[in-house]
Amino acid sequence: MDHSNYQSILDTVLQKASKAGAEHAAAVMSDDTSGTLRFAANRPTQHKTHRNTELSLAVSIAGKEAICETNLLQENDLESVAAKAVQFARNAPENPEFFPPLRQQTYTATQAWFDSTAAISIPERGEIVGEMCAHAESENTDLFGNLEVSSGFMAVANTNGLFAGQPVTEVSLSLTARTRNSNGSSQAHLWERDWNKLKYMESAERTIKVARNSVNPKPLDPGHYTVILSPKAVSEYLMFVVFAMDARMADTGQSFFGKQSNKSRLNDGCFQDIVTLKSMSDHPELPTPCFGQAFGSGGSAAGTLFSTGLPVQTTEWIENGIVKNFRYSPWYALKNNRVPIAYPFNLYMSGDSSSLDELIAEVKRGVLIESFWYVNPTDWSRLELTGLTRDGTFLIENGKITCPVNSFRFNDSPVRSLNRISGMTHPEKIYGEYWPGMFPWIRVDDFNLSSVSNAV
Amino acid sequence: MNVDNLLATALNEANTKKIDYLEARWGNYCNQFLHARDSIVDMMNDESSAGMNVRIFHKGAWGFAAAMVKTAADVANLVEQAQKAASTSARISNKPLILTDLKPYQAQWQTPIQIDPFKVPLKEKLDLLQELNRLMLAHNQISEVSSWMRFFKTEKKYVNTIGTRTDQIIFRSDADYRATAVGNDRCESRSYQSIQLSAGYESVDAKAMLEAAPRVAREAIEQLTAKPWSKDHADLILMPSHTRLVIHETIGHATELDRILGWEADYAGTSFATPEKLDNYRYGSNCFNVTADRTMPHGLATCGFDDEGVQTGRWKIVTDGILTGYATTRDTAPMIDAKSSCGCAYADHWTSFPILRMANTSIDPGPKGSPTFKQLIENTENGILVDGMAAFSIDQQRINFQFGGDYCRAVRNGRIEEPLWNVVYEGNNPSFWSSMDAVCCSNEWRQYGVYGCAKGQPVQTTALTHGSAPLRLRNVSVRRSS
Repeated sequence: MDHSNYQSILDTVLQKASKAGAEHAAAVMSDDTSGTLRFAANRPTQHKTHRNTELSLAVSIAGKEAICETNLLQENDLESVAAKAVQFARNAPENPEFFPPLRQQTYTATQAWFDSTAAISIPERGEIVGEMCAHAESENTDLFGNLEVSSGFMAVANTNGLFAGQPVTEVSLSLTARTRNSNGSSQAHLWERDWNKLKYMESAERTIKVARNSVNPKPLDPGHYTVILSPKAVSEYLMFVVFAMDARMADTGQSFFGKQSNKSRLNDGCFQDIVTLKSMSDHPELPTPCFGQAFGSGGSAAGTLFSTGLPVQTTEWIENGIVKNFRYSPWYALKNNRVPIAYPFNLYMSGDSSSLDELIAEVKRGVLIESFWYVNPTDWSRLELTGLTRDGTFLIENGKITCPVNSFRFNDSPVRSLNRISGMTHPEKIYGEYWPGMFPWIRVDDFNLSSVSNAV
Repeated sequence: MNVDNLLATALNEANTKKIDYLEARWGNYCNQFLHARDSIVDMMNDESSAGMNVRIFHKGAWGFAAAMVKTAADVANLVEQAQKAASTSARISNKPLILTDLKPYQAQWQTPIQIDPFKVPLKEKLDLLQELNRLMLAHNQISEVSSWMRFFKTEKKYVNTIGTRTDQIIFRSDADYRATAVGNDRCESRSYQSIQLSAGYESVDAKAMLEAAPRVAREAIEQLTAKPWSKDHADLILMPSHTRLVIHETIGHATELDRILGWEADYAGTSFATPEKLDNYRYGSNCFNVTADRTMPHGLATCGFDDEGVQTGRWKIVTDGILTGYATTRDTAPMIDAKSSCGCAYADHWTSFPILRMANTSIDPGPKGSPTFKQLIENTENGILVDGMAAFSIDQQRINFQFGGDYCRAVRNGRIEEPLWNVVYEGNNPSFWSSMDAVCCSNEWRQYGVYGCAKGQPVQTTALTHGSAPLRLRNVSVRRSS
């Protein structure tokens, strides 16, 4: 299907919704063709390809709202889904936080589609995974992971005249290398929109090397250490900061960012002035679609669909240590005279000029952490987190990495950690659990590694 | 072309193309989500998604393709793609997978329900959610309340080249709510703890939910001024609403054979419970017995046949404290020389490849003569009663963990006393279960559901049930709140 096909389907369902009685309607389509090759111990365990096209329709009648979703797209199917959504909405109570659909927006063109990615075939996926696994086999190491290649189209239209559509491609590669004695392990996550940029063999080689370096970890007691966190670990740790930066939750005292006398910490200097965290619409290494949907609590699920089509813009969340923006739903933004912000497609943390070797050289005794695992809050209102290190934990003594050590559970808060940074490198590209992004290696003093985990 | 003809076409294609083994699954997934925040109904979603997939096994490798198909040509295309994926994988694999044997079945299975949740008037459901919220908001310090309902209906039609044809309809229903209180320096929540069943709307017990709403609000408020547990250790009495979390993380996931073999090393992790430990490893104390069961009434993972055509069943995971079983699939069971799969393949959507998921997994109640809950409390001098789920984290081999309760109270000298703030306990898996010294009798046994369990790449989620009676663990490390 091309651009006009999507627009035609969206126009049809909007017309059907209006005819059925909807006062407002917005429809969002996603068309996704993806292929996945998963492998374990150097052999494929699942190899799949699928295509699915889904349509979500939000309608409102006098502030009463409902959403219906379907993957049946013939004209009679669209009529049915429109009628059902309208019938649902008629049964809903009026939503006092109703937010009407956006009007047509102006977009800055972005490139989120690359032919190189869309052209990857089933046999090519196999060749790439086969090449990495053969290398691992030659190194007497086992490789586990997943290669996912997808291409598709996202489009939105509403009864206020908005239409936006964009083709998108993505490739992600997750790799874990484990030594045959199962006591050395390392992990890497890669993400690109352009297949030609995926340095898969380079990453496989580094992952295997780190796994081999991490074998036979020596015991190290828990305690407070200076730690150096990899970009991957930083991403895994700091995503909770962005989760907590919701305007309504802050204003109602339900997060760390709203803890002072019911006044939020917007514009407060909560972190060291070297901390800058943003989502970028124009970074050449992090190409994004040109539109998204609002990203915050308050309003309604239908309101979120009505806000789809917001232009994606660069957003500073934390600038020089000061909280600059919260996430706002469209309704809550309107109520507070703020601009709703489209869902961030990436996160970027500014770094500094140190090299990793320089960060290590200045540590008398500390721990280098390659990855975190199973990070979860223990006290959300204080942003206290727990989690574990894994896939490479190393002791630093007198400015040098001396040996691999056991993994640890940590109990600490990114609020404290982002006030105890003593060094950073330039940011590097990684694929986090929720967003692709760029993060530096950071050195944090007095980090609480609270207990030992012998898991490898 | 109707669904039966589409499935028959896939089998014909397999025959024509002389494919070693093919299975085809059509699915129609219907979900309804209703959510109310304070006095506002902020979500009314109704979703449906239908399509078909084909999975082919060729020279020790799987290939899978899924799409929304309408014609014989569409099905032929699916088969061709799955074939291509399987042969590509076979070409790069130097260790072919082996499958356990499979019996053919022709059967129909459906979750027994009394009331189809999709046919209950929306007004009835929304009225209940709004009344729950009104009751909780009547309490001054309650800052925000949420209530919600989720209903799932999944129709699956499955065929394979050895002659199986199964039709299944699976229902799940859930209604729950939460109150959040905000004080000067704290924000605390308390949830109702719905039991969550594979059932119809009859499982939504409106009367019980309404009666409990004022209590839930009060218990959220109590935590604003509750003090933390003051010691480093405590005897823990875990209620079934909490044990579901601990069972899920420390037993269910730890005994999934795909993790044990390393197949989840890159995402969900591995496990300490490796095959050489089977039938000889002490997982817990003598009173620690665990059963897996995909046939248990109203279990969220209950069905007649798994997603690779294996009839579901019931088996022991831990017997008198010793590890005695795993969850398995057709491609993992041969690696421990098992002759058959336990029937644990599950795909969360028609676009999803079936992967190994734990069964409904439960701790057996104590034998005749075991204590009642009242007696267990009376026999505890210095402990913490833990209800509901809160913070959770466990290492990738399922050993070092840290869990919290939704609402905890001190137990002193045989009596339940004041609420405690932010109880988080920690431990190491086998030694934790070895400290279990009492489990209540069968009258006290309850089942609770877990939704949103994530595993696999691309990530799939599932829902399943864990049951237990209240049980006690001695001298567990409790984290001191800062």
